Amino acid sequence: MLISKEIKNIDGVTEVLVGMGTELNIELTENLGLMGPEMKDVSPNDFFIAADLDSDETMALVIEQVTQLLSQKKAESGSDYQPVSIAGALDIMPSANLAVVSIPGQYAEEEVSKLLDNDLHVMLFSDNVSVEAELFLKKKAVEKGLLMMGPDCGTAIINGIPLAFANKVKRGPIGIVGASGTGTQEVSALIDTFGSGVSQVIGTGGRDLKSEIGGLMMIQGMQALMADPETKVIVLISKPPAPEVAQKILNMVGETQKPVVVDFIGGDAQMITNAGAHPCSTLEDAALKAVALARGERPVDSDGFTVDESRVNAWIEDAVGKLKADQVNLRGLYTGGTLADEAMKLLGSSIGGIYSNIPLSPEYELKDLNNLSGHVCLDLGEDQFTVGRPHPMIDPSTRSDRFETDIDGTVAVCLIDVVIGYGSHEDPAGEVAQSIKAVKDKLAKEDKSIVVIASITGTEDDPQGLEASQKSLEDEGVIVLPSNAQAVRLTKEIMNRLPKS
Amino acid sequence: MGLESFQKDLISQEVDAVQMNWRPVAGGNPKMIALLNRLKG
Amino acid sequence: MTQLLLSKDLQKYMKKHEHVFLKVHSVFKDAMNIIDDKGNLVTLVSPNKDIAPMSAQVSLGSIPNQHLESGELVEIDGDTLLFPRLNIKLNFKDHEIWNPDYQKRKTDLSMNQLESRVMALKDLIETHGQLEGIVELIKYLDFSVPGIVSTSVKQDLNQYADFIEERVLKVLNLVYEGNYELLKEFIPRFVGFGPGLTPSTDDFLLGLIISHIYERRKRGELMKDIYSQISKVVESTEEKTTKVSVEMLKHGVRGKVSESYRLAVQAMFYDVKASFSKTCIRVLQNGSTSGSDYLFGVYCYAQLRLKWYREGGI
Repeated sequence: MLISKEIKNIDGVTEVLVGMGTELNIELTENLGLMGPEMKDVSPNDFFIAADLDSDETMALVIEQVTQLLSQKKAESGSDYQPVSIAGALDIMPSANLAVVSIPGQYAEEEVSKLLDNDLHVMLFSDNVSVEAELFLKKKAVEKGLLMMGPDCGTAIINGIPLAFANKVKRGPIGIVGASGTGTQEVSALIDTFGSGVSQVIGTGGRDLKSEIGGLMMIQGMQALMADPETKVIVLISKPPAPEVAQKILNMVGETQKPVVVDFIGGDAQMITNAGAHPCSTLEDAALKAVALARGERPVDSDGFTVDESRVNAWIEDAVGKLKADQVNLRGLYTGGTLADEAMKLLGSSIGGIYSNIPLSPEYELKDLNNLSGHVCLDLGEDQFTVGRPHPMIDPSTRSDRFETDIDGTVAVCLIDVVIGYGSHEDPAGEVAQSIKAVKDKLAKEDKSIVVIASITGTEDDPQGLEASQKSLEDEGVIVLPSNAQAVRLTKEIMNRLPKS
Repeated sequence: MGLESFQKDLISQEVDAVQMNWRPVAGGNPKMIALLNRLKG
Repeated sequence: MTQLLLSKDLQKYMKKHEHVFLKVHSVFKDAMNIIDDKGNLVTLVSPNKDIAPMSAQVSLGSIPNQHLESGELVEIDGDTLLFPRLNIKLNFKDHEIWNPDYQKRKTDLSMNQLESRVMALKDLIETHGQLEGIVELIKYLDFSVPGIVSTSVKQDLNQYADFIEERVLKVLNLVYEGNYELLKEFIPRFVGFGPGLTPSTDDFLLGLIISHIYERRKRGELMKDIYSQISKVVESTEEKTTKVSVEMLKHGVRGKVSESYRLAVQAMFYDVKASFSKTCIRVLQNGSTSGSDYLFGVYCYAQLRLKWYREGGI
């Protein structure tokens, strides 16, 4: 799109004219007061840019942008044009009401501030944004009645559209406000699996419920869901908040007739019940309770399996039967931090201490990531694994590498999450299946096999397809459970039948 | 603003989305940026 | 894999001139123009782009565009095109032939049908088109009064539309009155204006001309000698607009345009199977402002056609 107007929106440009050096175009240049001595050498087959601007740097930017436009002569699919400025983007799409921002953190504050000034809601995926910046932006957003989801917000579903890392979930009456990416994905996907749907899924970013921020977005999101006629049940998901923030949020439960399900993953259940909300033991439990409430049924605590008992018993017998005496360790290789955390919390101390890069207590912090021993559960999305590499949800090779290094003859069970949906790799299940095959082949040489247990976070409507992903895994002998909680429960059952290490 | 895959995913769902060609002001030079910010007041 | 297309007139040209030396005229991401010593342009486009008169679709991936230099030597030898410096040969013998000539369609449109097409086209242009150039005028043109006028107020229009408004009205009034003598004189003062690599007024004129030819021809009212006079005028505008535009208009006055442009005009004036809005949207998404300017011309001609019918019963 070769439009002067777009170039005019670049900071520092007062007036600009672009076009071929034809007689009439030059006449217009004169009329606009943009003539210069160079124009006399311009012929109809020459392309010119005449501009009134503030500096050579701005002119360089203008030339660069115009060159980009010129070299992008259209394919049929429509404009490849990428505007440089927010004003330019709004020119092309004046109806835009949301922006997704994933630029380096140190620049985010200024850009998001401009977006909010333009009355756009923001999803801020960037991390490395300061607490001060987050507070400033969220206060501004609240003042203007806008959402500022983030920083470090990777998941949202607005009006049925998955944003960044999110799943295609059926529409329905359950609204979610979540401070955790994969936690939110797991709950929303399970709601779909259990036969209901979501109205809106709002992200808050990982730090929202710390005392410095005070839960500003969770409150904002909750108020929106309280007022939304499509939302009949509200679900809140977060790691345990700062106590005064938890109290502020729980106080709002009293202000609505709608049932509220609260999963403060591992937090104080009594506080939640006292406030009139429904506490949860797992992400799956949150989904099940929300679906029950949406159907007007009484929510029950869930524990155990939704899979047929005989199948579960067969899995356990089979697993225990084929493992050798020296196979006693657990390896959890997770791409989603919240799911890894949930796994460790559910396993508790039942199988013994679990080492991790996100340990439940400091004495189990992994010192050496390269020499594993004992039970280990890793969050491969954490910083130490993503230096110079994409997140493992996007690039499965990080986990493939860990399969090679972390699975040895002492391992009994390998526990994994497979997160599909938008933002994820095009076939995470297929990639994992290949890694598993390689590991099994290697261990077969020692005449050993391992048990691999997985859950898939996603829905049938996701691009990768839930069923197809499940088949890829099951074809490689992986036991697939419908949720992370159930996968962990099965792991616990099997581990507890093995001789202690 | 940023990762193009987010925009492409939206387009594949037939959602109108414009990808910006974002670059830091003054080529990311922190001193320049500070100066420009002072000018804007 | 879809067949690559070669325009019939280019095939004829290559057969006629056994061995020709040409030069690279201009190079773009998806297209390249080559010029011979008589000033004829030959265009190579990538397979996903529209085929047009004197053009051929080639896998441009086989030609490193960025390494070609303007003025560089190109040879045509029978059915082969050669870039000697890079030692790249393109062969056209397996290409499917595309005919750029006027193509009649059997079924006609009633005036009512044309009227609803016209309204639909205006809507499509305003929704999907580039209104930052001369096309903004579409919102302000009034064809219902004697002498086509514009209802715009000074600050309504962008600088291009503002500059050219008067001349657009003049062209439309001259066409309406059938005053081709004055129109011929006026064309050199109209071409070559507007943003983009093909000036807007040229695309607008093309829209008017192609519509004129296609719509008149079905009524048996082709004005051959008018067109040939206009053609001469166009050739004389070499100083006033770009080479590429002049060539485009020269083909245009002979009723020849690119495939998508032709489909849009056929869908406009005939009762064809192709979806009207689909063909128009395809044109509107065609490169910067060109498609919008072209359809703006088609729209204006169609409005004139309705006006002739309303006021003169033709």
